[in-house]
Amino acid sequence: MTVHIPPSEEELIQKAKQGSLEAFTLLYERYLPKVYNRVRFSIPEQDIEDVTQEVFMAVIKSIHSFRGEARFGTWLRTLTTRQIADYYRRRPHRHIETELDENLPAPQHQNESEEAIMLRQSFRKLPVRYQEILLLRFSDGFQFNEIARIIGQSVEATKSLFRRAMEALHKQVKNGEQL
Amino acid sequence: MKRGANSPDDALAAYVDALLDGVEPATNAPVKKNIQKDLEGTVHLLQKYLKPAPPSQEMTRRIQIRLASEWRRSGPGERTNRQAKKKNQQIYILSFATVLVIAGLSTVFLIPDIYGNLQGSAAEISPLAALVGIILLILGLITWIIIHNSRRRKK
Repeated sequence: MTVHIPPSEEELIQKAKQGSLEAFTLLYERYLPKVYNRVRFSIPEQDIEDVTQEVFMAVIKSIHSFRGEARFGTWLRTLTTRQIADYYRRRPHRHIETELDENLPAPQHQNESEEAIMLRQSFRKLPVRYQEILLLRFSDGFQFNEIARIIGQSVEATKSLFRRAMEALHKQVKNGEQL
Repeated sequence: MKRGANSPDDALAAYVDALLDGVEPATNAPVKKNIQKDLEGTVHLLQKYLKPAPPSQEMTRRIQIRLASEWRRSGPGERTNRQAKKKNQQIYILSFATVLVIAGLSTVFLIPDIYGNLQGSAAEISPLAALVGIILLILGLITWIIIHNSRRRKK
């Protein structure tokens, strides 16, 4: 019986850099859930697909310059954050659109509970640094000491920022429930 | 001020750590007693909905198709091909410039000798040959300088 060992991340990156579409597709499939999750919690519903796609377009354009000094996931997270920032830079009327978005049906998440939709809308109203720390812990699964290293703060300051982010989100969720 | 291990920040962090590790702290656990009660619900919401989730299969496929087409147009393989093509072009142009310079020099220095031998008189530079030679020389040098500068700018 032969055991199929999936190619390592390094192998896939090397092959993708040499022009293998198959390797790139495997990387795409592996990282899509994480990228998509970040994007859907930060971008209005109608633009989630476009921004998710733009993140991977950015990977195509710059994978040749990825030297492996950081982990691929970290590099991709930076690209995602940059694409989200670019999105809001191109569209300065973020809040107006967010309000409009709230009234739109959610095409991708039609079966999603009201609770989930309300959480996402509350989440998008948080300052970016609060969104980031919550995503790093809950979505990316980093420990607090790792998050501290990523954001360049002490562990204590990181935990404090995390608590403030949680409190701000809690307040937004409560406000959402009252409406 | 140094915070103690039981500060609200530490308590909340420990509570989240335990929950994400799959351990629901008991009601009377110190970790649970120290976090603000009303944050518990929000932590549970985040744990439930912030997990990475793939988009629908349709969206996954749509994006994949567009990415594959972009990959063929401007992916690393295509980039390497374009760079190789550009390099080849530069080599051809440089060779052409060198040929022009050599042809220019030959016209200026060799043709008068041939011309002189044919005439059976002392070598004289034909004005036309000199002009053609000088033009070729200048063209060759200009081409060479342009290529050289563009390469240096890239570095």
